[in-house]
Amino acid sequence: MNKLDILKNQWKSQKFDKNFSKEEFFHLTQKKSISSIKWIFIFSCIEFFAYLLFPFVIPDYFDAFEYYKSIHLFEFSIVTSILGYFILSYFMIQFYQNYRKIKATDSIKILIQRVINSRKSVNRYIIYNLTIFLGFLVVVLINAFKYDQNYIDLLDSEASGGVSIVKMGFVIIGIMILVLIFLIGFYYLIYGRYFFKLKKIVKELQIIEE
Amino acid sequence: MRLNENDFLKLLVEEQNIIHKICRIYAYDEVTQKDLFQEISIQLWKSYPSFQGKSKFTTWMYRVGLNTAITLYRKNKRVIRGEDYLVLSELKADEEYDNTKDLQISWLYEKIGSFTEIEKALILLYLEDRKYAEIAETLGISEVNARVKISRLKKKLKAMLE
Repeated sequence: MNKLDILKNQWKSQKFDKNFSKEEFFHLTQKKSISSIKWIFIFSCIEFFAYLLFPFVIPDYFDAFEYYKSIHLFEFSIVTSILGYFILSYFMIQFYQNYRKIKATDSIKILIQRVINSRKSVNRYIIYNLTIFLGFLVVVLINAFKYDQNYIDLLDSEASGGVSIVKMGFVIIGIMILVLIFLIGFYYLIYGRYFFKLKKIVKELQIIEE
Repeated sequence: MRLNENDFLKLLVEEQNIIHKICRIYAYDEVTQKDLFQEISIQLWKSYPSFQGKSKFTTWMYRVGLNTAITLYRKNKRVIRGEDYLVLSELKADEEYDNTKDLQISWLYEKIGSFTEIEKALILLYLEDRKYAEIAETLGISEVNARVKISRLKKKLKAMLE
């Protein structure tokens, strides 16, 4: 018998102090799960509803439609809003399906891939939101410069040698970069370490397979 | 074969050492171990309706247990690894208790602690004498690769024993 076999025998004969009874096991299983998947799903729900509540939190959101009317964007804003909610529902269904698909009985490799994929769809959702938001902003600004006298005056001051529009551009870009940094930091804090670990495991499995 | 709740709980009681071992491998302090033990029990309970006797109950337990430990479980706090086990086993020692054996097992756990998450799973399944096919299926890799990786780990373990 070599040392490894002795070790293996010792391993197999090890005993544990605590032995759970049937009742104790039942009691344990009735407690709340703290699995990462559940947690990711809950977070995606929060992110989803935070966006849904957005219009109600911003005081002038609904008045904005009046403004859109004045710059000939009323139909555009209505259509994009409605379309936005459809796409939102699609994402929510996807989140739920991803969550349902994840089973503790899959192989380690498949399970990890499913978890990563589920997070990817949340990321797509966030990227979609930001793109829509920025796209909408650009269209509104373009039309504002065309039809809103206040904006047209701004352009005039530029023509007469003022720097206000350049300044404003810098301020807007600066704010966007700050928001982006904040968002990235926020997501890193919540998901960073966990997904870093999962990706490391996927890589390790790939190396084994090579 | 469909298990009813009572049979399922009975099997869990009989095979609970599997969960204890996984917890001791993947969690380094008592609080986290208890936490992980609970989470694995919950995951087993949640998945047992899908258990159809296609695979052996123990095979299925390793799979759910390891998946929970590696992917699904999320620690509540950061845990600092210590040598609590050695201290613990020394405290427990009495005449009936084989202290050297226990120390050796503690030594083994400590060594395994420095392995990667996948290596931990592989070494556990190896020590438990699981078949290569089963190991491969649990991890989602091919049997040949499981064999190669395990023989490497055996060498690594042997070198530690010298």
